[in-house]
Amino acid sequence: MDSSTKHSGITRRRFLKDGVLLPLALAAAGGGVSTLFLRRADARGFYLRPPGALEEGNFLAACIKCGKCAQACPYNSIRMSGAEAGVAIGTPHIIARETPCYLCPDLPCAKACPSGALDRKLEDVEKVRMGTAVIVDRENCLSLRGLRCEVCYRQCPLIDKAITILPRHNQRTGVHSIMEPVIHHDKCVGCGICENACVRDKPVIVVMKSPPEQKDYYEF
Amino acid sequence: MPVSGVVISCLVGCSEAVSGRIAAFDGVEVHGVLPDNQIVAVIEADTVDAEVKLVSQLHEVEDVVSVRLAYHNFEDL
Amino acid sequence: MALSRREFLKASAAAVAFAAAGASVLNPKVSEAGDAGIKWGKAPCRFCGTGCGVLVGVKGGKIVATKGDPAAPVNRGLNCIKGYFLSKVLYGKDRLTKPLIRKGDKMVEASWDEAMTLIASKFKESIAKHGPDSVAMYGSGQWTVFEGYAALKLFKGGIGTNNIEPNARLCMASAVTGFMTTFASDEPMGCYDDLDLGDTYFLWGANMAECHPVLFSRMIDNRLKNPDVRIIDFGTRRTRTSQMADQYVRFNPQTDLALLNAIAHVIIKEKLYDEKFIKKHVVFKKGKENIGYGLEDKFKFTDDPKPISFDDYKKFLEKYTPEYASKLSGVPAAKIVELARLYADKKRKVNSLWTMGFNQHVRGTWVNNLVYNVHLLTGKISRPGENPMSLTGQPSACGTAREVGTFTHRLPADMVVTNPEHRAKAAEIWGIDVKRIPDKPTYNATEMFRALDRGDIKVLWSQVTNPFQSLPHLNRYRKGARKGDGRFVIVSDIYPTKSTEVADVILPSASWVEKEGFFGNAERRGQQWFKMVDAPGEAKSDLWQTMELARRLGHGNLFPYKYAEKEIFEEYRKFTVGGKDLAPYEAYVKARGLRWPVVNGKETLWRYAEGHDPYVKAGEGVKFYKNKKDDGRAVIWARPYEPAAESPDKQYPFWLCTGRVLEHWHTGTMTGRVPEIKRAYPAAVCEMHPDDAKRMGIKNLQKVKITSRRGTIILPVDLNGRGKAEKGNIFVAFFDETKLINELCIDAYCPISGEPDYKKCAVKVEKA
Ligand code: SF4
Ligand code: SF4
Ligand code: SF4
Repeated sequence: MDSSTKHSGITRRRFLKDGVLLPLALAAAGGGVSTLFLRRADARGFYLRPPGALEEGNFLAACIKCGKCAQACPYNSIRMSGAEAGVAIGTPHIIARETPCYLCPDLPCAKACPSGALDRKLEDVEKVRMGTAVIVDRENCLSLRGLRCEVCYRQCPLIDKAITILPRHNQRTGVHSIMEPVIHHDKCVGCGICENACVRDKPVIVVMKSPPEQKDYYEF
Repeated sequence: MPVSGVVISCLVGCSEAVSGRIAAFDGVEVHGVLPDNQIVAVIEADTVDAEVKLVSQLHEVEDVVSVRLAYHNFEDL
Repeated sequence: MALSRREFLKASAAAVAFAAAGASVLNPKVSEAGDAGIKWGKAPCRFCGTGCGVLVGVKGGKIVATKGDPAAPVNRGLNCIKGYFLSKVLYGKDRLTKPLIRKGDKMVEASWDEAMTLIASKFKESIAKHGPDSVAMYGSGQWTVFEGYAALKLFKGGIGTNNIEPNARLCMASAVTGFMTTFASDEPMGCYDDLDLGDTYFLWGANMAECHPVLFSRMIDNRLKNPDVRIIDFGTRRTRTSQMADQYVRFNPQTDLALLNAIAHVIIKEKLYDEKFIKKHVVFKKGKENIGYGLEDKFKFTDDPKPISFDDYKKFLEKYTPEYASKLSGVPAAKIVELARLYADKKRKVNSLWTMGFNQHVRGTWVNNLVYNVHLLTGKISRPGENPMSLTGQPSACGTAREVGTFTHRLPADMVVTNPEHRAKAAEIWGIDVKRIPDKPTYNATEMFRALDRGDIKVLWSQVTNPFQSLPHLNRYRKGARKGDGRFVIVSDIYPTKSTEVADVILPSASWVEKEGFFGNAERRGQQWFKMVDAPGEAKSDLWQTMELARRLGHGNLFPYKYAEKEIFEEYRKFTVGGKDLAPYEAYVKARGLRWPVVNGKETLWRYAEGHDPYVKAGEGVKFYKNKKDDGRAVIWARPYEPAAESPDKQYPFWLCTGRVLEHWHTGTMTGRVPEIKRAYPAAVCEMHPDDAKRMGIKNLQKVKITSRRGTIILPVDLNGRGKAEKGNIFVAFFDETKLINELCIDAYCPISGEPDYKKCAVKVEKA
């Protein structure tokens, strides 16, 4: 490693460490800083919150960090974040690659929430919006290379709605079709089951807060 | 400082010649010449603007058909 | 060398660009560093009957990588997810590396000599006391050709018993008897090229999207190129295949028999048949009816074929009006008429494809016959792009089980033990007295395990398969294996399985490229590979194990080989000359597989077709020359609809169907050891229709208790999964060794093929 990299690495770590000591200060400094902070803590810039969570700012304000939702989850999908979360310390979140949200039909986590940080009235699991899946690394998706994988698609609880398969001609072989998984952001609930199931070492399909920004209105 | 990986397609049979031409640019490193008239190169520039300029210049090089960006990284190093 | 951050970024930039250029392997830097010293060799995939070619990368005596073989005609470099992870299937942590012998409740490590001495003594003792029919070999469609051949030769030509069966009895036997009764020669006339060349595909009980993944993408690509292509999926469960088909035609389980007869009825009533073709190439026959279900031990059945006329056949079909079939099947009568017309459309190139929905069927042979009927009536057979095609499940169900003939009633290359000429030919090639080959078939697979349960079979050796997870009515046979009283079970495998659990001796086997091998896939393509790595520990190939037993039983003279694999192949090839014609071994070493018959170095794409099949003479057009008995004609069979062995009733109101998923191979012993696959699909679920669930107050993911007359199991329900059960049906995959769904299945089988019906039995479902 050259010195500049070292420097930046240490700074980053120091920043995190300092952050542990500073959650209150940061909270006082307001939303902008805390979002920035969250981005540092999680590369994707957001925490996957349990189903029914309010918009992040309101959620942080409302959540009383009681852990009732985590207790209610039969799969232990919900964890309470540790100090690394800074201002979000003690709040519930889901690490999809380890245990995704399996979308219990009665949403026991949301029902258990006493504060309203999770929407208790949410009935229909298909209305849940925790985030949305995105294929972040097209080069490494096996299906996009023509292999018959589509594990994410077949495991998606909203199969044929949130993910569909778009077959197209494989020009290299000339006789096979590429079965491309296509995510429909308006249907995807962000449960992370696909991220959990992806067969690559690093999942190439991951849940994000919102689809990557587009600078126009073409929605495909 | 931006670092990018690009795939350059050339006219049939010209990849060797093109690789010589583009290697002469400052900030361009040729990493491989593939049998199917493609060249893989890495581009470094000081700013994004400079990088864009460089890529446009590559487009202009004789016998180059296209320059495709395959990887782009921008971070302070 | 530590790379600087910038160097690292540049390296990744280059790597990604290489990948984008479609040339990751050509990246000179990568191959210098990471890929240096990898040696690549060819092999067929270890898993399904598709038979994709792969390249196996070996370094330091280990498989470090595999990739689809771009030169393999089947897959052209592609694989499904099972094939993608081939490099990991042999390296699970609990690979068996030493022989193990049961001492009470414990399995104790032993030397090969101890284990083989014990096994040989058990064989000798049992044969001496109870005769040769008290010992048995249960093998596999995943045996290499050499392994299957050696086992067959030892049991039929050495020990003198027909107690040898493959697990292919559980998956392909009905296809075999279907082919044999209609054409007098096993295996398809068509090949995978038909997937590219046809324009109409009828799928019957085949979830190709998951079970023949790479072939499915070939058929879909055909449709992408040609918008006229129609894919019609007949099924009892809405699958990923149905999802991509043009039409999904749902029918009630077992009524495919009525549907196919109704299709023939319409074709005849509307005179859509090909009169000339029928006159020239077809005879009509009728067999016994009400043939039973093989539910009682030692069930025996012999058909009694009687020639009938075309008019008799027409009369037989009168009953099968679209309305009648509609009442049974639930398919609207108009739809049946429409599809019959599509089948007969002279402008269309029509193919039928099927797998376990047809074969695992108490009338499996019949339903195979019935689909040929439709093709024979319309003359849509043995033409490029237009064929009935039975898809095989296992990588060498065709090559080993069917062509070598490792069934109780068979000898290599379509020959049978009941035929004295066939026995004479085998005896001659083997250099033995013909009297040594017993002339009576003994047990089909189910009956073999019944005999073990009863104690008629004492010593049973299982190789390359996992019967104590995969048999139907599993409880009975698992218990039977451990009843003691002289019973002795030997299991050769590469991992601990549900079968090694009940074994008295476990032998560690070499697998796949840890030995030299030869598989034959579903399109008659034989594929050879060399040994590329050593098996771990003391594991040895099943071929070595079988020959070692032979030596110890005094039958070593049957295996006088120096280069066993090649010599066995050349010996076996003698059986095939003038019929199935395999090429010399060296030809397979060079080729990416060859489709038999290979005559004068040329493979055959379409059998029975002039210009393709070397045995069809000029001017004949099509000739079903194998059926000498009927003058080179194929048989249209009058086969009625008969109900399943067990249908839902008040007490057990649901149909239970079992099957596979794309991610896992059979009982999951290999794929379950690949962490990525295990994560992708960890455990079995019970697919159920949402309306049924609602009525019973069952919510998605809730646990249910499923009970049949034979067993009980608890599983979470999946109301909206990859497969969607129809009302009154549930579906459970059988890969999960912690949830033995086969305990619930009924061990009823097709009386002609002996293949059990894993697709239909009655269960009840309750909240757990
Ligand atoms: S996150 Fe993935 S699995 Fe969940 S709904 Fe969206 S696409 Fe489907
Ligand atoms: S599971 Fe991963 S590799 Fe497979 S198709 Fe989905 S995103 Fe691609
Ligand atoms: S399992 Fe079948 S489809 Fe998949 S790679 Fe192997 S042979 Fe091909």
